This record gives sequence, structure tokens and C-alpha cells, in this order.
Amino acid sequence: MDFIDAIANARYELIGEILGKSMERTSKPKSFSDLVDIVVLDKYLGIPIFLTLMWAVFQFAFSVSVPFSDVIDMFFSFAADWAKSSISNEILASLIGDGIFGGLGFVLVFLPPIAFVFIALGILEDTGYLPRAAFVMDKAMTKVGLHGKSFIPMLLGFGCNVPAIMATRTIENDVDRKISIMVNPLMSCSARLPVYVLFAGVFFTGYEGAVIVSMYLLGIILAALMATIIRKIFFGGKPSPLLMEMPEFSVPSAKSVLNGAWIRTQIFLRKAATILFIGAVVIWLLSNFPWEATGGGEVLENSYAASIGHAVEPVIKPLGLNWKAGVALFSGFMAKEIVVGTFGILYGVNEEEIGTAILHDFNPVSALAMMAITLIYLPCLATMGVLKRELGEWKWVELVIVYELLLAYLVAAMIVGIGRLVI
Amino acid sequence: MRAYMVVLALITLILGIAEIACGFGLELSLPMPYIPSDIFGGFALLVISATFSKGALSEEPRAHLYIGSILLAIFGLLYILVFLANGLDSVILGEEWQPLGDIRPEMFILLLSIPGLLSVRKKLNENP
Repeated sequence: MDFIDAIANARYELIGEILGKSMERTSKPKSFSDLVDIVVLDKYLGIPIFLTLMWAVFQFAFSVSVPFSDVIDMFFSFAADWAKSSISNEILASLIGDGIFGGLGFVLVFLPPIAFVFIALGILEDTGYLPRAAFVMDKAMTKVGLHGKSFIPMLLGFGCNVPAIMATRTIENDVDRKISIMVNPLMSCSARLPVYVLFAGVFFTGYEGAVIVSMYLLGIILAALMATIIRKIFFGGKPSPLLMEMPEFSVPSAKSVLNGAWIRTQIFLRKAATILFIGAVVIWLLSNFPWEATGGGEVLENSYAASIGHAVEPVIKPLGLNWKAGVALFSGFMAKEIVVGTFGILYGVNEEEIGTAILHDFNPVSALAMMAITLIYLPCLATMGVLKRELGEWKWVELVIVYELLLAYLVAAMIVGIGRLVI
Repeated sequence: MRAYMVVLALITLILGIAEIACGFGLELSLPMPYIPSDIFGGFALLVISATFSKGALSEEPRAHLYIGSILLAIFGLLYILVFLANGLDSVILGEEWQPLGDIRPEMFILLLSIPGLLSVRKKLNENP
């Protein structure tokens, strides 16, 4: 028994002693919550049930949302074609067709899976399961240097890292909180999803679900690894013990689940209307200008985007990535959702043709490396702002930037190295 | 109740192993149609099987019947939704749909969760 277990046991003994003196036991039948807790908090079944439910959440999000994404895809493809054929001014037609409709279309096709993730997580939240999941994961979290209460912010990180980092405010201990904040950007937020869906769909047909889940797992493993390293190097000690009250299990209400999902989805829509819209226009400008030199966006090699991409290329070339990937990753710093849209604009294709376009520049190994880099390399601009606000000092934000860049390169290099040995 | 849970544990165990084996590319000559190649889906069935198995041996079999049945229903409904989504998608895209390719055993064994779900409902009405 270690020190933390001894403290926890002493606390429970004291609680038992106080309850024994102040409470009279009556033989009340076990409630539904009591019975459910026997199973979902079980030493052996708890974690497998949690993993199973997570698998169901992602299956629901990615498989059931497909028709909705296709409708959005068809609408934006139609709108882009209409703009290009109806507007006589070449530059304006290209801006509206390729830049605005094309760029936004690439982002908004991922609205349905994101909304479905929020619906599924909302159901789990409304039933009262999520605090149980935190309890079940506490031991594993403590082992990797994270507090049990970090689990909920980590889970929220699958939606968006910004509210997830803010949710760490529930962790009382400052060191535990700082570590949870610093590793949260490794949780794969919904903005990275479009990149996974695109590359997994093209290069791992039939195994898309497994590849996407493996990215999420990679994020979790790296977060655990980095939490251990950061605690050992910068803070020392062990996480404080977890004490939390479990709410009763209840049947989720459709109204509350849908309201919650709508509020969270609105954040994505607002981002699409502002940052992503500006991002799409900036990428269009960079890839189409100088207009004469690019022949109206036909010869990308002569564009400003190509100059940026070629500057980054020597660094990422050993990973099997070319300058277009460099531009996409560069734009992804603004918001990760822009990465796929950037590829679309750079290749000058619509949503339906993007899969064929990337086949020329990537293979399964470099596709996997690209997905891993997108997962790890840098927090987006909005996350960076919240990191500064919640961590207080720039030195911790700089630490996050440095470790993420190094880790992204290292992981991608390992994927490429192992991939070359296997294939 | 315990005997019913043993039956459910066995069915989900066999299907789970079959899905995982197919997922690893093994060609099984099983007398069962519609076994998908799905490692994660097979793992989910094994977890459901373990829940029922533990319940059959536990002092509180009801608790395990509730959770096992809820999980069985979740996956059954999930795959029915996926089936319908694929059908709808092929209508939207104007492509030919092969419905048999989207059928999974979880869609049928969903029916076996009904007794467990009814007891959940009864319990929630009696003592939530």
C-alpha cells in the first residue's frame, strides 16, 4: 500500500466511523443506481464497459451522420459550380466558388459527425455515467500522474480543447490542474476529425473506424506519457486523491441532450462563420496570387502558398510530406478544421475529388504520419489563448508548444520508420 | 434469470469471437450469416458476454442483467441506425445499395435484450 492509498483508506475509515455514530441503518432495497454502480464501477468490468461505450459513441458519430454530411457536400459542390459558371468576373468567381463555397464546404461536411459526438456524449452526461467513468479511470489516471478529476476535461477535449481546458478549474490542486491543462491539447478535438476521416477513408478503406479510434488512443497514450514526464521534471510529487459525489442514474431527456448538443455545435458554427471563413479566403488568396503568375490559380507552384510550403518542406520531407502538406499544417495553426479545406483549395478540387487528389502525394504511411502530426503538432490559436489565460505564465505555454512540436516530429518519424520496415 | 444470462453470455461470446476472427482475416466456416469483420465490434460483444457471465455467478444477477441488456440494446439500435443511414445515403447519392452487406447479428440479438429492458423499466418505476 502506498502513501495515497493509506490516506484514502484512513479517510474512508473516518467517514465510516462518523456515519456509524450518526446514522441508523435500515434494510432499504437497493435503488436502480445502486445496482448499476455494482457493474459499471466493477474492478474488472468498469474499464471495458467504458471503452465499449466510447466505441459506440464514435460509431454513432461517424457512421450514422454520413447521409447528412453528403447532403451538405452536395449543396456546397452545387453552390461552387453555380458561382463559377454564373459570375463573369474570373477572380470573383474563383473567390466565391473555390474560396468561400469550396473552403466552407470542406469544413461544414464535418458538422454532422461533430454534432453527433455531442449528442452521444450528452446522453452519457445526462444519465449520470460520466462521473462514474471518471471514478473508474481514476486509478489509471493517477498512475500516469494525472488527477482523477482530469478525466472529465480530457473527455471534453474530444469535443473542443477550449472548454476542456476551462473545465480543469474543478481541480483544486494547482499542480494537478497545470499538468491537466498542459496535456489537454493532445486530446483529439473534433477539429482534427476531418483530417482523420479524409486520410483514413482514402488510405485505409474498410478500416476507417479502427484507424480513427487509434488516433484518439494515440492522443490518450501521449497525454499520459507527457503528464508523467512533466510531473517528474517540473513538479514532482503525486496527484492528490479523488473524492467525488456520484449523482443518481437517470433516464436522459431528449430536450436536454439536444439543447446541450446544439449549444456545443453552435461554437463550431460560429467558428466556421468567422475564423474558418477568413481562413478559407486567406488560403484562396495565397494559392491564387500573384494572379498572373498562377494563371488564375492553375499553376500553384508560382503561388505565395507554394513559397510558404517550400520553406517548410525540407523539415517535413523526411516524413514523406510535401509542400502542400506544409501549407495545410501551417494554416491549421489558425484552426485545425482548415487543414482539409486547404488541401481542397491547393489541389483545386471539390469535396468529392479530394480523395483522388491526395492519392498522388501520399501513401498509407505518410497519411498516418500526417494524421499523427495533425493530432500533436500545435494547439490552435483559440486554445493557445486559453492556455495562456489558465496557465498564467508564458513559460508554460512555451513548454506546451515546444514539447508538442518535438513530439509530433518524433511520433511521425517513428511511424515512417516502422512503416518503411513493414511495407 | 441466471440460465437466461448464461444463454446470452454464450451467444455474445461466440459472435464476439467470430467478429474478431473475421476482423483478423480468418475465414470461418460458420453456420451463421452476416458476421462482419469487426475487431472493435467483437470486443464490445465480449464485454457484454463478460457482463452476463459475471452476473450469472454474482450475488446481484439483476444488476448485470440490466447493464448487459442495456449494452445489447445500445449496439442493436446503433447498427440498425447505421443500416438505415447507409440506405438513406445510397438514395441521396443515387448509388446501388447492398442491404445484406449492412446486416449484423447485433440487430437480431437486440430482441434478446427485451426481458432485461422490461425489468429495468419495472425497477425504475418501483425504486428509481
